[in-house]
Amino acid sequence: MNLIQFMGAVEMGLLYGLVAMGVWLSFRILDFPDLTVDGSFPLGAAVCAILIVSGVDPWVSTLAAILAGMVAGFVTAWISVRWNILHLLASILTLTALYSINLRIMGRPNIALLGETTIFTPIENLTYPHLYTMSGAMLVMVAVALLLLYRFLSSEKGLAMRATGSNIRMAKAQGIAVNKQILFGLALSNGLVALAGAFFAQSQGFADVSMGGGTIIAGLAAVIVGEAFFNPKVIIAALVACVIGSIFYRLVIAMALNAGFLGLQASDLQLVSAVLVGIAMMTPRLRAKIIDFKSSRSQA
Amino acid sequence: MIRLKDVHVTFNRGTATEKKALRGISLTIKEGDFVCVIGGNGAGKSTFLNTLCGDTIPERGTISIDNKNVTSLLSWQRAPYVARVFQDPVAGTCANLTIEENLALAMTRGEKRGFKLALNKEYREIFRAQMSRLKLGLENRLNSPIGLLSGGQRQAVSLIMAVLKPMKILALDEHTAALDPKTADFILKLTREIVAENNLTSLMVTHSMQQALDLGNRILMLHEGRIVFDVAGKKRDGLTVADLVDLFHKASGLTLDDESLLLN
Repeated sequence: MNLIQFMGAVEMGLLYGLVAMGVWLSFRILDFPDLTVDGSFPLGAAVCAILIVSGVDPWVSTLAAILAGMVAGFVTAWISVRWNILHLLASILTLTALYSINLRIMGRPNIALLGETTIFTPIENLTYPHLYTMSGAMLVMVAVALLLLYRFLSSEKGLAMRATGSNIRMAKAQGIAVNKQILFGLALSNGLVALAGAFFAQSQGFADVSMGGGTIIAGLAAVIVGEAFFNPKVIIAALVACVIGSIFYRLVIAMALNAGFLGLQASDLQLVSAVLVGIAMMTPRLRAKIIDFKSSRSQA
Repeated sequence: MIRLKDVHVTFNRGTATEKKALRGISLTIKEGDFVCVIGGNGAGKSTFLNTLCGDTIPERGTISIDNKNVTSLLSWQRAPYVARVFQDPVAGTCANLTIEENLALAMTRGEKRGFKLALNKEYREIFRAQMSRLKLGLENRLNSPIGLLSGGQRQAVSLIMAVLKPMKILALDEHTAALDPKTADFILKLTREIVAENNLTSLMVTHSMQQALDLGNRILMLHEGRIVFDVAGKKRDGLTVADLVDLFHKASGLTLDDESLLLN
């Protein structure tokens, strides 16, 4: 792996760190497995791209992408909470609908943003190598999102949201409107993912209707890899673990695809992802088994 | 003042498993009353408490708190008036939140929650003081996840959480039933102290007649969803378990065969 590939993986890792935080929010904080992200990621890209090519300010376009993602998350939560439909199924419904909606929004399967002014245009004109400035800009934006999310989760509202996912009966007894928490929490989660989609479109120079496939796996992988390595005990550590897990995940994939002796090619990406996530998910059990084995031997 | 008027609750209405859990409960709980609710399995004790707390909405009858009709309010909407301790120590707290975060949640029970930080120095002072009274050393562990505590410790914290904010009624749902005898005694003692200190209006559901005689100033016995007897004040003083069994026998014409009520 050369430097360009390495920095590219770091940049993607940071970008998908946003997805990871969104997925962590739904899976871990709200205990609501949400697959909508596979649709809200391209939704964010689509909304942002179409607005930019229509001449709208890139920051306004990015904000619009966040709002669109929030609506998508809200819809999933509403289907699940209001109509008492299993969370996974509710999210699959929204995800399926989003494919058509994304096509409608863009009016065509993909939009190129080459030559358009994006939020990254100012740093492209800098004299520093683009390789580093891009990752630097991404780092700053991910850090801002992370700190805002951390501040929110430390607030009274954030604590109410965490209680909802942790113990819904207790949350109700404390006067928390749990349904509202799920509605808003999923909106927030998908807003983050759509933001990642908007960043992706602007940094890579295109939006494509099929770009969302595997978003959930990438996000989940980052969450699980981060947890497996850091075993975070507090919220801020868990958030940082999401981002570092995401970077680590991208690096491992880049290494696997670039290691000639493995004979893997770019199209094996999804297989490598699934295997990596599988290993990360088995790690805690495996660790427990090893400890069990050791202690049983020491007793004998 | 809490007032229930002809409250009916039926589960699985219109099916083969239909169960009339409450059949016309009317009751007034005066301010400062400490009511103990006893009854055998399936008598309707838990349904009664759940209905008071808003987990179950009655199909008929009204519930009012301080003349405010709360019959159709859900549990989270009743939280400003009702503080609650569950039977299961795990149910009353959030395992993966820290002790201080759990207490902070209780600090805003039934209030509008805003964007300001959930924890601050002033709160931590209050929490530390409240935790030291338990003499469990928890004041030095405010930062630990509450899931690391034992059931008894969690129940003690739940009790403190319940009374951090003013309420109209403290609802205790067999809150010592899942604990070992020694821990149960500790929690009962703490309950008595806290209720007396704050002069709380309370309602405790219990399986044990002896417990009902030891605590509170009023005993209510339920059987098949109805109140069989309701003794308070002088009439209650000096009663024994045998007297309660007798009262039940006279009021219902039945003999009590639920041994769990007589043990303890």
